[in-house]
Amino acid sequence: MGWQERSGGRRYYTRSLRREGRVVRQYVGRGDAAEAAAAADRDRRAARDAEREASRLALSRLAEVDRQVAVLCEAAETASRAWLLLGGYQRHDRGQWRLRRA
Amino acid sequence: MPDLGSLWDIERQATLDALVERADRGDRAALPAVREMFDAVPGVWDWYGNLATIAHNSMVDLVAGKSALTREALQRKIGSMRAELAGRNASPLERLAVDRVLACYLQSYQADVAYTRSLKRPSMSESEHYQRRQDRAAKQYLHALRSLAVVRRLLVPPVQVNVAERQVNIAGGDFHVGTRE
Repeated sequence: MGWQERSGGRRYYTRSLRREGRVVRQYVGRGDAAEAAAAADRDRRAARDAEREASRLALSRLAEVDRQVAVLCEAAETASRAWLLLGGYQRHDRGQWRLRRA
Repeated sequence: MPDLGSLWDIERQATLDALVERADRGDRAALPAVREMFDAVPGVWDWYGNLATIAHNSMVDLVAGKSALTREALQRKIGSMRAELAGRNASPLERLAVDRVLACYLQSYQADVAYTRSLKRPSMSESEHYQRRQDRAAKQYLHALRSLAVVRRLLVPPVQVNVAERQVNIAGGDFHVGTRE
């Protein structure tokens, strides 16, 4: 996608499109119409990039908050297991907690 | 991360993890060390409380965004759920288990909303990511509820009161009524 220059210094605009699974190059031309098409493509690309960046930031924020919840869960799990073990309980194969026989 | 200036810290927690893992696999020699860690460092429960506060605040921030109204409503909801689940005389371990349930509740709720929103976007892989996250959050929430139930059932001492000629044992919300001998 972009401006090409021919011998003689004339510039013309083309864009790449996907048609039936193949990438084809579309000739747009020169002049005002080509400038407008180039500007529209530029805006679309900028909007897509901004959306991708926002999505990346949202996912990384979610991952950080999820990590904080996971840390709490692990700590709480360890504390529960510790107190159950201290209380005389045990479990077989990570199953139910039962009172240990003396 | 919680205040590392307190007596308990992430390294002590890692040591406790390893000891509990050993004890859980049947190595009873690890148990005295576990007990010693809890006895020697009373700041452990404050540390766990900090972990819970951090997780709750982050989740509330995430769900409420800039809406002060949603933030207030969520904080009230969490407050009333805490009062309902923990009651007044909950042990530190019960309070921790309740805090875990509340964090997981918020996470699961947020994951449901995020997944629904992701369906409106064109990216299929993003929606799948949100769906996997939703599944994980739901499982984590159920696990937290189960853990609270186990702590309640096995570690909360039953309260015994005598009503007329009947003995009433109250433990974790269960009532057992028997005739007094």
